[in-house]
Order: sequence, then C-alpha cells, then structure tokens
Amino acid sequence: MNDEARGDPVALELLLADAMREEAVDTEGQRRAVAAFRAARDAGRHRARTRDRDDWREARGNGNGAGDERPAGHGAPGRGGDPGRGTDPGPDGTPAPAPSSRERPRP
Amino acid sequence: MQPYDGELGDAVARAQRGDETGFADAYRLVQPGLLGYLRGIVGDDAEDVASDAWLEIARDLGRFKGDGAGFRGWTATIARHRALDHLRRLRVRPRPAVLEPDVLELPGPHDTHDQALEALSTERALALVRTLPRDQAEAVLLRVVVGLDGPSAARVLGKSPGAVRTASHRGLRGLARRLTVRDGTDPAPGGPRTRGEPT
Repeated sequence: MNDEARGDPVALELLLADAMREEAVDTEGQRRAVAAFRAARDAGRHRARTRDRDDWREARGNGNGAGDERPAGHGAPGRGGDPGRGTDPGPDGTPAPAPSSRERPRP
Repeated sequence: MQPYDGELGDAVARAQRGDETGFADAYRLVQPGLLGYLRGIVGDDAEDVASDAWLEIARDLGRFKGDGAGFRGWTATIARHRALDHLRRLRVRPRPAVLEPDVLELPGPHDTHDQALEALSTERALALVRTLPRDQAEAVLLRVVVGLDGPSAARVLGKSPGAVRTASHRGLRGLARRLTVRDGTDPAPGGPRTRGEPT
C-alpha cells in the first residue's frame, strides 16, 4: 500500500486526506455554530436574498471540463441552473430546491 | 465527490427549513475538511478562524443555493475569506512564525519509505503541505481534504480550473518528492513516480 502511495497520486491523496482530516468534531464549536444558526433563524436573517456568490447550483460548469476556463465566481452567462429563476429567492424567501440529481464526473 | 454529499445536501435542506439538527449534521460533515484546509493556511489559528466562518455560515445559510457538494464550496469560500482576513491582521501585528523548525524535521536517512509514509501524522502532513507555495497548498487541500472537484476549487480560489489543476498536480508531485527524497532515494527527474525498491 505504501509502495503505491509513493508512486500513485491517488494513494498519496488518500494518505493526505486521512492525515489532515480530524474526524472528531469539537462539540463546543458545534454548539456555538448551532446557537448562531438559531439566532439568525429567529431574527429572520435566513430570508436574506441570495447573492451571486451564494448560488452554487451548477456553478462549476457542470464539470464538463473543456472550455470551462471562464473566471470563477462571476455571474457569467451559462452558469447553469434555471436562467429564468436567477438568484432570487422564492416569494416566501425560502431557497429554491436544489437539482434533484446531477452527474458530475470525477475530477 | 465526497461519499457524504447526499447526506450533506439533505442536512442543508433541513437546516434551510429551520431545523437546527440539520444544521448540526451539516457542521459535523463539513467541519473536518474545513479545519484541515484552514490548518494549511493559518496553522494553529485554524479553529478560531473556523469558528468565525461558522458564525457567518450560520447567519447566511438562507442565502445559499445548491446541493451538498455546492455547500462544501460555499463554506470553503467563506472560510478562505476569514482566513485571508486573519492573515492580513497578522501582517499588521506580526507574530512568530507558526511553524517551529522541529516540526519541519522529516525522517532521517535511516528511515525507509514505508516508515516515512506510515508516519504521516497530522503534524507532519501539515508541515509538508506548508512547505508548498500557497497556491499549490490551497489547491491540494481543497481538492483532497475538503473534497471539492476541480471547477469548485477554482471558484473558491477565483482562478481558472486549468490553473488550479496545474497547481494541484504540482503540489501533489512536490509532496511525493519530499516523501521520497527524505529517505535518500532520488526520484526520477520531473516526477514522483519512482517505483524502485529501497536500496
């Protein structure tokens, strides 16, 4: 296995991911995050408008690779999803449903 | 694509309907990768920066649109902005370098390849990653540790997918070379794909 890791980039990636990801989650950090979530929700902040940078539907060029060299993060035409819907939230401020399924080739 | 992206998408959707358990689930699924990425940028301050990032994520959750994979990208972007803000503040009030020299000590000549690889602790992995130029380190961490695909990593970094692909390849090649060189085996010129047995 280690022999493979030395020569095989995928094995090296797995090794690195194992080493760098700490699976035990700090419960205090989680508690603070959830408290912030609750406060924002109760203050109505979750009805805020979606900005371009918040829209990650199909935002990655759908991974088809070729020709996907446009600058990232800008609302370029063809950034995917449903052009008619744009980035506006629904009438009640709830998020539009994410695509139910999508094939994305592995990188 | 991460194995948990379906579960993550579900957790995010529940959170966006107001369910705090959904938000807690999303936190548990995202935080390990996010923290690993931040350690590569800000070292020991990663937990503080992650904490700041989560406050913003919690506040802006209603703005997000996308699935589980998209949520990884969105949260990584927020975390990156918080990390860069943090680094800017450190430049105003400099502190000692995050990495101590002994952390950078890698296996000596007596170590075999196998020992070097088996001993790839979090600390050493971090030290290795931080020897890379930052663009390479970030590309590798976003791809490998956060689990983003190429176009998502490119969007987080504000670069073209091609540039990120190149940076990621170079970063991984550099890491493989460092692991190999340290036990006295010369890698083949231009790449890590040295498969020879230790001599």
